[in-house]
Amino acid sequence: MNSTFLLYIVDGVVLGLIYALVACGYSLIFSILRIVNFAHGSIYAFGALMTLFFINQGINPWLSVLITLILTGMLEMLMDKVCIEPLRKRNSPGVSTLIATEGYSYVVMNMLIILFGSGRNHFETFYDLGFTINIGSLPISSTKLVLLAISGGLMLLMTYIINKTHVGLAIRAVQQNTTSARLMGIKVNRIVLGTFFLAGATAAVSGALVAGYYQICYPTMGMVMGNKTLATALLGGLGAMHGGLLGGIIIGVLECIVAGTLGATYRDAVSFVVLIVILIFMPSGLFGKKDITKV
Amino acid sequence: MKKTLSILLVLVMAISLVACQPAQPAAPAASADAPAADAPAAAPAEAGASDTIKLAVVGPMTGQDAEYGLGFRQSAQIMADKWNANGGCLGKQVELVVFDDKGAPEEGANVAEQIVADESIVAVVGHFSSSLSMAAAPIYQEHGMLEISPCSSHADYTGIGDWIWRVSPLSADEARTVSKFVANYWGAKKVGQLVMNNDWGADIAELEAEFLKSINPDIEVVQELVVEGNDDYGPVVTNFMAAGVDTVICDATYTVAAPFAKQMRLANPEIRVVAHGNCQVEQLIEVLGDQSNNFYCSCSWSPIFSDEETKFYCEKYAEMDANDTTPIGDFVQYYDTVGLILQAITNCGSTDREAIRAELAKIEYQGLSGLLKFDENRDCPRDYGMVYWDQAQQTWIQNTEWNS
Repeated sequence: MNSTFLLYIVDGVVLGLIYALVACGYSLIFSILRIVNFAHGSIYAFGALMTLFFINQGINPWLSVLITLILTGMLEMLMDKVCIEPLRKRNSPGVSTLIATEGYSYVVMNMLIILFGSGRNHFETFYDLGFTINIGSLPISSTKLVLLAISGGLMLLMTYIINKTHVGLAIRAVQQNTTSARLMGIKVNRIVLGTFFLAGATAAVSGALVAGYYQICYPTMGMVMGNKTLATALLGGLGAMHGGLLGGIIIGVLECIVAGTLGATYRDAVSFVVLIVILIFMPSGLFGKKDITKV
Repeated sequence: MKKTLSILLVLVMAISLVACQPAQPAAPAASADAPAADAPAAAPAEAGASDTIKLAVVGPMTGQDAEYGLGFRQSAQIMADKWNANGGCLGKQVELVVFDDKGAPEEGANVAEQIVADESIVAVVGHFSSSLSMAAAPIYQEHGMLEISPCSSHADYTGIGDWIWRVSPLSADEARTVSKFVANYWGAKKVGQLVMNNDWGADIAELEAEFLKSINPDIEVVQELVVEGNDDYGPVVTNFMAAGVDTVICDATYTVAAPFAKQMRLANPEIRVVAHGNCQVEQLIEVLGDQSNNFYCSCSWSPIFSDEETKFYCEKYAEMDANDTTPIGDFVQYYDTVGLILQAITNCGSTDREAIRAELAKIEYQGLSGLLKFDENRDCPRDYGMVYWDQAQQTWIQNTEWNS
């Protein structure tokens, strides 16, 4: 294997980690409500731009991420209260919720354009430790290592929250049967809101990290990213955090190999071709669980 | 509890957003400056028959390229204000009616339909990109509406019809300038082309490859096509490095060129990067940060010029622009186009479109972006210059440096 091909793979793994980070939010919302949140891409852009705003005010970058994390969490909660809960109460069909989240996405994106302008903004990398290690002929920068550590850590944290905590237990209970969960004393609305908050928080972290990695952020940065990470989440199996990680790395590596060998114009098609193939043979994705519906 | 929570959420979000709101651009002085939806519906029977001379100014006022649209609108307005301050044109006030094509070709055609429906509009200043201008041009041609595009450089654009003109130099002019610069001034041996996958990108890349080969048959050209929206250029950078290019020409807008150049320079700062006039924007320098030194752009004008007209334009632009941006050559071409049309109207003494068109064929107008003189194809061919940045300051290189 020559060094050029190895570079594609290294770039692809990093890209995959980025996709997996953003895909977390899709998985969380889907795991409890069985809806795909099309607004997640715009909220991810909101996370990046708000972090930049706070950094520009002289606030420490990590503290800026923390403040933004609360704001993006609340933005997701607001979406639930304004767009999704009313539809849920009326037992509206799932497609109504999809369209509502799509509409909310455009509202957030246009609001960002009004506030920050449509141009590209420089976002200084705030997690560059200033060293590069060489594995053979492959240079791997500290930013890639930090990205790897944070992505992996975030996946583990989410998996722990879902599988090992009372909140996670409640989330899983609501996912399996809302009525039974309510009868068991679980405050369903609070759990739903909490899940939206968590999804928003992951959007802030991923937005800030990705913007820092590419050193750029802008209001429409979530459009392409949103579509690809949705494909990532579906490939891994919506609701399965570790699936998102693997799905991200598969898509990221394939994209970089295709972009490098066939041309960058084909890269966007890769995610969706892979997705279609996987969904034909494994409709629940690589690690997703089949829905069992009572008849 | 639920209501309180909802209200609290809305309040927190609203306060946080208001707190981070930057200064807004000054509100348009006249109602005519409003976007298409607010454009006056009623129109006099003849173009310019009212007390004003109306020109449509079209560009991406919203959407991804909105920062360009704002610059176009402001630049056109400076020229209109200048004429109005001197008594107007043929004794009438000049009124700009601003239309938003959102930078989308299908929207360009919709806007063109709105414009041709308004008989009071004398001419169209726009659109920005070749894709949009070429989508709208057949409609203007069919209705006998004069369209003069300040920035569309695609070779086929003016061939659409005799109502279709351009002030912008052609893609061939841009390609020739950059090719000569790269081959003669830099002595490049292996050139990479980062090509944005649209009409303009494909056209100019092909022309550059031809020019480069004609200047030096031994030059190797490596082409990489990209689409806007992906900020990851890792595989492209890897390919350019593996091919051993010494120079990369960005046939792309700054939205692609800036993140690419950043990643390219981080990987190999020795590879030289040059782009076109649409990259002469401040955002590119902001995105590149300390990597912006020695980034080159071909362009028709630079704000560092010391002539009186440039000083006047830059002063007015600074007064008008709430965002404190520095104007670029593309903005100046909107300024020049409005001036050119008003001069043609003055020369022929009429707002009749046929008369203006006949006058345009023989006019020689000294604009900021050069001497505007149309050839038989309704084009304004001319050579570009080159700017480069050093410590975020532009430096101009006259084209005689590499033409000789």
